[in-house]
Amino acid sequence: MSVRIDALGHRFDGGPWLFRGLTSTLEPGHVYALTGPSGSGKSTLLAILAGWIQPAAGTVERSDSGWVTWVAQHPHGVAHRAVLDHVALPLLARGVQPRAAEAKAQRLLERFRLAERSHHPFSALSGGEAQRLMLARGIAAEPSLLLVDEPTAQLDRRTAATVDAVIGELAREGTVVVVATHDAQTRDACTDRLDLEDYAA
Amino acid sequence: MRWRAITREAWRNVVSGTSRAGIVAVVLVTAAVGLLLTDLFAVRGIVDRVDEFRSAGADVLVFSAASGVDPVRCEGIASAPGVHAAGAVRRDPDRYISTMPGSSIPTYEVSPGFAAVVHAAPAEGVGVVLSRELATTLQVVPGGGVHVLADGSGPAPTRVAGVYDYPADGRMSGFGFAMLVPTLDRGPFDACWVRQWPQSAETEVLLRSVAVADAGTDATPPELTQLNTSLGRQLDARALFLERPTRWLPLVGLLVAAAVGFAVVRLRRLEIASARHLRVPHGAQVLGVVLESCAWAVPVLLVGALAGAWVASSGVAADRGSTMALAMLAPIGVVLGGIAGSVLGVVSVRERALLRYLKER
Repeated sequence: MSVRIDALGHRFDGGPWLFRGLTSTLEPGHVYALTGPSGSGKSTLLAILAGWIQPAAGTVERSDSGWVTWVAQHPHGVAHRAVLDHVALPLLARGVQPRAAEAKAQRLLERFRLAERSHHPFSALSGGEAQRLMLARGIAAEPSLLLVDEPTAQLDRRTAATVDAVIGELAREGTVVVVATHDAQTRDACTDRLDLEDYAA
Repeated sequence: MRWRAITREAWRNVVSGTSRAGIVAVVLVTAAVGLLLTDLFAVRGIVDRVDEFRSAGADVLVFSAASGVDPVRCEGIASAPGVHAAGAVRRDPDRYISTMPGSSIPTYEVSPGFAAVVHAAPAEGVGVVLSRELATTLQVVPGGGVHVLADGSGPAPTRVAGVYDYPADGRMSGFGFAMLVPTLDRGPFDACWVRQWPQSAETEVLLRSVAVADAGTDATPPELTQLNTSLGRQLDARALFLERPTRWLPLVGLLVAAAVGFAVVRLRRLEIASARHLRVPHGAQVLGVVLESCAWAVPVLLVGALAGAWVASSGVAADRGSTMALAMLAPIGVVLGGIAGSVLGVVSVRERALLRYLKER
């Protein structure tokens, strides 16, 4: 999937423009770092790309109807459900047999260094673990477009590097990845950059 | 999403407490049992009123026409729909009993069906039927005998075929201390008594047809009365049942359970929207919530059935089957409402509102 962004702009209820005139094409195999100061509209742009918000100006066109997954900045899971269940759910949803889904989910958890936590409830995870779980779960949905909001904000440098590496691997597998981030190391790990400051009104 | 995966998810949501099935079960079982007991006891009140009405003889109609009632036509009414017994009665000269020769006994000749009208128990075989007060005074029981003195002749041994209750509770006087003498005579009688339930205007028409030609006089025209008017003329048990205020309780249960089901599912809106964002199909979520609902629906139905069985066995109504059917209305309403509310809750969750749900956390 590629995403064509044309003269995109947004503001809420007639307020000041967050950004305007954003034109770009997001291609598979690339990881786009979405940067800009707080309040510049990074999360809003992700929501527009997800199709949840209608932009005030411009258009977003996807080349096909591939799946879009958005991973929120603040982890949200089902408190009493096991970590493994969270990652297996998107696989089960696509018709994968439970046993195979659990095996695949376990491998994804290993990628994010969460294998030993697979049978713990979500509520037992630390903030960083929960953040990684959300990424693992989002990837399990096998999206064509992965939108990630501040994925390393709660992680130490070593774990953040692991996450950056996994995101890079995903892009190489053909996923379009957009990462909203303040983190310089994560930004540098991305192949491309969209700085909303360049499109501020 | 495969059926097995849906059941797996539903089961895990129940056992992990995610679906809050335990608290929902407690709330809805309490609501269902409370509602069903309230309704059943309201019905019990109606049944008690009917029992009181009937046991007081208020269900007996009396057509009076001095020497103007055809006993054959009167007895024939017993075969009419809703009529339980019919019989004719006429005043006869007082008799005397050998054991209390100083007291005259008010005596009535009655057609064979009359004993059933006054619930003479048991009234079998040949013999007189005594009021309870007279039988107690004479210390006789059905099957026993008394020596009746009549017309100045010697005492004639007479079998007591039955005894009937006739308390002074507002019913027509004259039969509380009396003796009924069955007769097959087809001559005119003074009155025709009919016990009917439920009450019917058609029976009144039939009753008026028992009058012989030129029945009654200008001074005492034929009249149709109720044996006991102290409890009112009419008691429409069907209307009382159908219009009882508690008839709406199953609907109330349905609405309350729908609100509970909706609210509990809406508490999970972030989880549901998130799952949908992860490709879980809409239909699978609806089916999953319905399956999860079984965790509280089964206890609601079981406890409801147990409560209904308990009430039925305690004799609230004569018909246990009807009592059970009535008892299950509220639990069934609660279950249907709860499931409908839960499904509505799932359907109302929007994937595109995921951001808003996150902010509302």
